[in-house]
Amino acid sequence: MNERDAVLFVVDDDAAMRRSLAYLFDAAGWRVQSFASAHDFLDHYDGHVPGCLVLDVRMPLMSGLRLQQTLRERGNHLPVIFLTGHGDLAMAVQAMKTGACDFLEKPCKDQVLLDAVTRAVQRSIEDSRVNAQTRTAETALATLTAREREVAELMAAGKPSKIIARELAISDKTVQVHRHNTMEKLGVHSAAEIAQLLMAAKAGHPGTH
Amino acid sequence: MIFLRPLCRLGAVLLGAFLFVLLPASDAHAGTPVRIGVLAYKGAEAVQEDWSHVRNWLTDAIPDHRFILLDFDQAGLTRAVHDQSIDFVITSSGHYVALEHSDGASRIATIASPWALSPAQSIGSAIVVRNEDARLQALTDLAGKHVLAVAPDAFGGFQIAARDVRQAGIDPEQDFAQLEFSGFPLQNMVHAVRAGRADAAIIRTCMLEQMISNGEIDASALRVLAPIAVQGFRCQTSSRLYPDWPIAALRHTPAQLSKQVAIALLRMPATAQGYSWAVAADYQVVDTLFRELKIGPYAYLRQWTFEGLLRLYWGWLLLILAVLVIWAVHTVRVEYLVSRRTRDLRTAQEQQRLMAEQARVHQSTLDHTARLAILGEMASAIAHELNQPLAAIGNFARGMARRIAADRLEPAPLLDGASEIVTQSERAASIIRSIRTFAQKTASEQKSVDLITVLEQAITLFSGAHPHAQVSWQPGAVPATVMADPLQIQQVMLNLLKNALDAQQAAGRVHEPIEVQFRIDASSYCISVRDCGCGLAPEQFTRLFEPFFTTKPEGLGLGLSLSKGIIESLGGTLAAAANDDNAGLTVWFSLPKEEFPGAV
Repeated sequence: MNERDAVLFVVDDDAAMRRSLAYLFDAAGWRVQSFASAHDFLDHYDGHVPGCLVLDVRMPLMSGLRLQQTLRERGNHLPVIFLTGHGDLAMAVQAMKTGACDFLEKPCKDQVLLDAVTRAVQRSIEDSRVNAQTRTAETALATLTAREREVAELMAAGKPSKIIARELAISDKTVQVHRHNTMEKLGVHSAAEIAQLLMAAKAGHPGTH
Repeated sequence: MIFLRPLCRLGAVLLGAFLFVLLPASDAHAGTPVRIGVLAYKGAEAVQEDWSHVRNWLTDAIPDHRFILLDFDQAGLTRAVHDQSIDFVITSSGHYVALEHSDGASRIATIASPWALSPAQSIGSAIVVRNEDARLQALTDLAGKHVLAVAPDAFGGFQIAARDVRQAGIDPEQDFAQLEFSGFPLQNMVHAVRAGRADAAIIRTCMLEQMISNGEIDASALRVLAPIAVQGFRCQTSSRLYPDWPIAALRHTPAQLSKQVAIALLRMPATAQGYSWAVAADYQVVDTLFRELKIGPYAYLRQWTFEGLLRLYWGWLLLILAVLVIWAVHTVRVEYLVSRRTRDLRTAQEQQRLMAEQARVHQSTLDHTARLAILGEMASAIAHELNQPLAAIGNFARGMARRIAADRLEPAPLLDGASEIVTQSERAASIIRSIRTFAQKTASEQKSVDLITVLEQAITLFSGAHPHAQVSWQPGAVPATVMADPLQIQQVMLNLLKNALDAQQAAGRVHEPIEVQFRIDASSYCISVRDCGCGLAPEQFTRLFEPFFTTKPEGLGLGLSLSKGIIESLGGTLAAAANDDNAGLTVWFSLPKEEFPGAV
């Protein structure tokens, strides 16, 4: 997955603004999809395509801030670049708190906008990659039994079998069996790899660690 | 001495009344009393002396009647005739004619005097002057002299002479230095002239001769002025002659008695002095004299002269004059007031015109201020709206530059960008144009405008500035012309739309449409703007059109009050009401159709 696969989503109620942004991004080599309203975008976006959202703050029906909030509530972290004709500081602060990537005042230098877009897309791609690893790790971890999960956690902590057997109050032989099964199920060959898997699974939930 | 006359008259009346009471009592021995009133021209005693033989003759001649002589002055005698307190009257010819006119006295005999051949030419006026007074030769010489006469109504003692003096060319009432009426007895006047207290005295003819023969006066001392010789007349006269005194019966005197008296008198022998009675003479000449002098029964003629009228009616004339003067003053005053009022009115009209002109200029300035205020309130929206095409242009241009820099020279996208730039620049220009038109300071100019077009322009401007606002507007394709300044109507419309949008924003219903409706009434067009905003509290409603009343934090509070002023100046009305469903407000205004100016 790279920048070629990313899509810039332009949402602006002003058709001319929408078209001109699309034209500029297209000229800069980006794939662009534009929408006249936040609802149109939400109806269309599946939540998996990486890229970034370029939003007009003031739009009728649903404002840019409201759209951003809606995306976050859906667990989507698509980066958002706000464009505003008003330079409203309070609005900018709120947008950044909610996780906006950038807040640009129209009209802005194209390079500034394009740099912001590039940064956002890279972040999105990174997020996507992390998300993919997390999903793989979670899937693998989900195949483990409860005892095997306990053994995997202790292995990731770098503890030898004897210690694990003592902590779990089971025989050393039984630990050896769980250890073998766990590595088999997770398709790993070392305790370090197990540790990486567990971390990746936790990385998908940034608010929890 | 004029003032003495009423006293003399009073004395005579009293004397007459005294005799009237006393005589019948003293002579109560025989018959019905018959009273003869006699003009006492020589005094009361002379009457009994001169006329007693007549009384005795009649008493003797007519049985069963007792004749009584009563003396009067002329006024007293007139009254006695009028009161019917006497049965016969012996008086001067002049007085008789007057009585004939006033009380129907009817002469039955005329005195025949010894000095006159004919009783019809027996009495005249003698104007007595001092013999040595050489100034007085003709009647005209009396002008400027002090003249005595008996009384204005004395026949021989004034009236006869007056006629002849007047005919000679002198007005006896005006041309004498003094005309003094000294009353009876006449002898006094003669003595007065003799003594030089007066220049001349008018007395009846033969009076002077009698006085001379009686020895009362020296014949050489006096003479008669301008004597006229009349054949058969033995006295000197200054005038023509008239009939002698008559005896007349009165209306109430029994005819039989009159006849008896007349016969008795005609049969009476001449007296020792030579007096007798003759058949009644013709007194027409006396009547002519009266007519000529406008006296006696013809006194009324005198009243018809201007002077007479003036004397008689001076009060009324004065009143009429006063009324005329008041009327004239009133007319002049009314004229003056009217002209002043007219001037005031014209001044007031001029002032009103000036004030209206000032108000118009003021209103125009205010309108302009209001439009700028509206623009000010819309400034951020306008800035945003202008920003959009400018930002779009920038994006297209940069996009094109990038394509060219990257050597991506496919013509279609480049052309696409260029045409987009053109479109957006036109869009920006049109926004600027409409703002400038709206903000320009032009004198308010009323002309025939199509209301629909003007409203559409306002809605376009509004929608341009507020792209997220929804304005629902479906005018019919009808011509709707009004006399108005299109800018003013746009101002009102923008104001109403702005208010509607603000209200909806405050209520969080920006996306809902603002309904603009257009209705055609009989004589006007009605435009309503309906919002579904926050509406107004009742206390806000009452102040809605007050200047500087606003519910908006950034509002000036001038919009609606100015809008109302504008619409009313165009002959229309502007009003507001809460919507029936209690959500929001509807503001509407009407404008008279061009063909019905001021008809709303």
